[in-house]
Amino acid sequence: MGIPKDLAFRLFGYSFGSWFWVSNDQSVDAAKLIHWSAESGSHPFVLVAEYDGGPVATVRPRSTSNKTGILHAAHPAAHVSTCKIEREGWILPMLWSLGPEAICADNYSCQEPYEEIAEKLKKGTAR
Amino acid sequence: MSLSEIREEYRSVRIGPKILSEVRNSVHQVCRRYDPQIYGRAASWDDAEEDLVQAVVLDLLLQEGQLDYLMARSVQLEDFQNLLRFQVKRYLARQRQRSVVDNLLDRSKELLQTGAFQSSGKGQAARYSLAGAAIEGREPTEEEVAAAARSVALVPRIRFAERERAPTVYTRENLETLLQAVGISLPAGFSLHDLARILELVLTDWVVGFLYDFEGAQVEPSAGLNPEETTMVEAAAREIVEQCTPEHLLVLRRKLENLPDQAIADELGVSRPTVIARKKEAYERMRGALEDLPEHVQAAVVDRLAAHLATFSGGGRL
Amino acid sequence: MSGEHAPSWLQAALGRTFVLPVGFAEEGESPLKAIRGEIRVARPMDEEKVSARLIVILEAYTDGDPWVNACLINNALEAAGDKDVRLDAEDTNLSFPTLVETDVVGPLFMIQLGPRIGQLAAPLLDELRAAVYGTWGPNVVNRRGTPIMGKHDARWRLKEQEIGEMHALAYACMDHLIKADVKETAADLVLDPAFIRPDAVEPPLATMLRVVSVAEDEGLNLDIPTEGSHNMSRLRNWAASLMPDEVRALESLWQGCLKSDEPKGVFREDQLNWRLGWPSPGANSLAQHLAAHASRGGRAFRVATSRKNWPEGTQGGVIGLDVEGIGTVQVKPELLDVAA
Repeated sequence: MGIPKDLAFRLFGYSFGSWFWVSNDQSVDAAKLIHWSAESGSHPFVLVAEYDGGPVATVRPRSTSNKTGILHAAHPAAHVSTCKIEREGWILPMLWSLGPEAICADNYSCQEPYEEIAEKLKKGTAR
Repeated sequence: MSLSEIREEYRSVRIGPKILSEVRNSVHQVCRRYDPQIYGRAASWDDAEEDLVQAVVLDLLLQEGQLDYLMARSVQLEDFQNLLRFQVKRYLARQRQRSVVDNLLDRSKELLQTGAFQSSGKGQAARYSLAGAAIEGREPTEEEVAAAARSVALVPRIRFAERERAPTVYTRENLETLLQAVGISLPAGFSLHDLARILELVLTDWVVGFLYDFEGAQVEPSAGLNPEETTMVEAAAREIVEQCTPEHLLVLRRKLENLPDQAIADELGVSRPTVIARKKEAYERMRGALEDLPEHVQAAVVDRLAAHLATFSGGGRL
Repeated sequence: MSGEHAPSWLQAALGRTFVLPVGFAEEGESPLKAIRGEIRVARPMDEEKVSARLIVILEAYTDGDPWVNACLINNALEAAGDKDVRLDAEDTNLSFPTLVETDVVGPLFMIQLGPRIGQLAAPLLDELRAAVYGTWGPNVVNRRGTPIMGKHDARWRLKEQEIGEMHALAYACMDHLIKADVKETAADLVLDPAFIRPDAVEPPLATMLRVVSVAEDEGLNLDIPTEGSHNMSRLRNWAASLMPDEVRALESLWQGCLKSDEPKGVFREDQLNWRLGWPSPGANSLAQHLAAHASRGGRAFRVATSRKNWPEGTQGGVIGLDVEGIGTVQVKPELLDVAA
């Protein structure tokens, strides 16, 4: 990585409440070749703390079928062009650590637009 | 030997012949990889190995409770042995770090006698501060020490190898910058003990590399720059500082110290979007100055800038 | 050195202080019920992958399949970065200082946890939990290391390694929880075969109705272990003794019996080990049944069982079943008896 890109990472990172669609093989440690889902595909994750460009980002996953956690409406249609949160779902209570390869522009979806949801995430509300 | 036997001994006498034997084996396996003069302060490990065994047992396993940590985590004998070897390395790293810090303190004492600093008291009670500063008669707070460590972390270091007898770590110029950064961060003045604490907080990545056998991937920016490149570094760093406002520089400094945007906004008394805007502006100025330079020169520019930022408290030229 | 005295320097040191020995990773209460703030050792669900690690429990969930959100703990204080909080022995009731890695987090099945070896007071735990979410309170903000400066910093590599270890510990639970409530992989409520063993008293109707009701309310599939023709004929005979409306009310129970077309795993008795035992009769056939599920990927089960076999305070706790070649299965006794 060139120095300016390294700096950009350090300077900008991503804010709390940013959503990313992370493929299953990026969600777990590549070196250990452990996949918590054998299936291909991806899951949405939201940053629950600011990501500062360092080695770890703390996130929570979202599901459209698992009804535990914070009920989360689909994002408004005119939200941002990259938004992929198009169906109602639940922000699950599990915490997870992602590496920087998962938190990238290619995976970026959008910023959480609902204030009430952001408040719940900030407090670490489970449901 | 089995883990059951180790556990039984631990429960009955805490440390007995079996655990002691494991410690001796681990010490022997680990220490022989390292120079005894650097890590054992002895001509050969034959002279120093038993001292090391005693130190690991008394200081780490018993006094610091690490034996309990090992017993809690071990599920197989191999776990216990791996963790024990790690403890031996921790002890060696700690010794090494102490001697590196002691060398830096010796060099610092000399620099602290220059006109840039003032002192009061003698010996262990000596306190130092920037020349002309009014010394508050108190110990620095934990918060101030942490802030000082974050500033000092910006000052470029010279990577050193485990085999190096007397590593430099900081050039004279950068050691002066470091001491100024400490002086700015600690308005109450500082003792050599405070300085040692800060250096120990800062010299962590070397220790980690040693403990976990990571090969360093550090770029050594200034080493090996030719005179032309050195001139380019100075020019680029100056260009960045001149193009950036004090607000830009403070934002850059705080981001390099890894403070979140909101904390910077609170410090500056502006909104978070304003901080984000300043970051973008500062980044553009840096990118403009760096993008045509070779990567090793870019790294040297960033290091030069970081050293400047370590003592930046608003305003000032490079 | 057997029969010899310890060297004098060691004798002197051992004589100076007394410290209670810690519990070992495989020990612990049964049923296991962990709560937030506890420090325990966590082991992987699978038989290899990663060594046991110390964790601190941020949150504990006992509805459904019990699990915890946890932070990893390291003992190398010298490795601290700015997301790592140093805790002294007096903060934790441990005999050693620790580093809580607030950025290395993950869910763990409760059964992965060993005995409680330390405990944080609630205010400190609250600040640590807030730190996970990026808010640094006064009691933790100055206990951190310096920021990790970039990929050249060895602590970056260490963090990558630590995330890898946490993933290895947590992925089974994460997989299970992510898939929960998906229709095709909906959780089962397993009926303790003790209810339908040939030597058992007839299954109490009220209890069976309660089992059915709980399964329907929580969207669970009822799973009836029908290994052995004795169990099936016992159920058949019992069903024949019921009134028609009672039979209808127990529809999902009969549906659960019809899953007998699924392939059964065959494990030798010595390949299955209840950690600290399953106290109700039929433990072996239950173990076989759950091991068969585990061989198809299941790792956590809830078993409707009778409270008469369990001590007070069982509800919400878990029991472990180790299956050779697979790893650990978490079993939660659900005490659903209804008094006659």
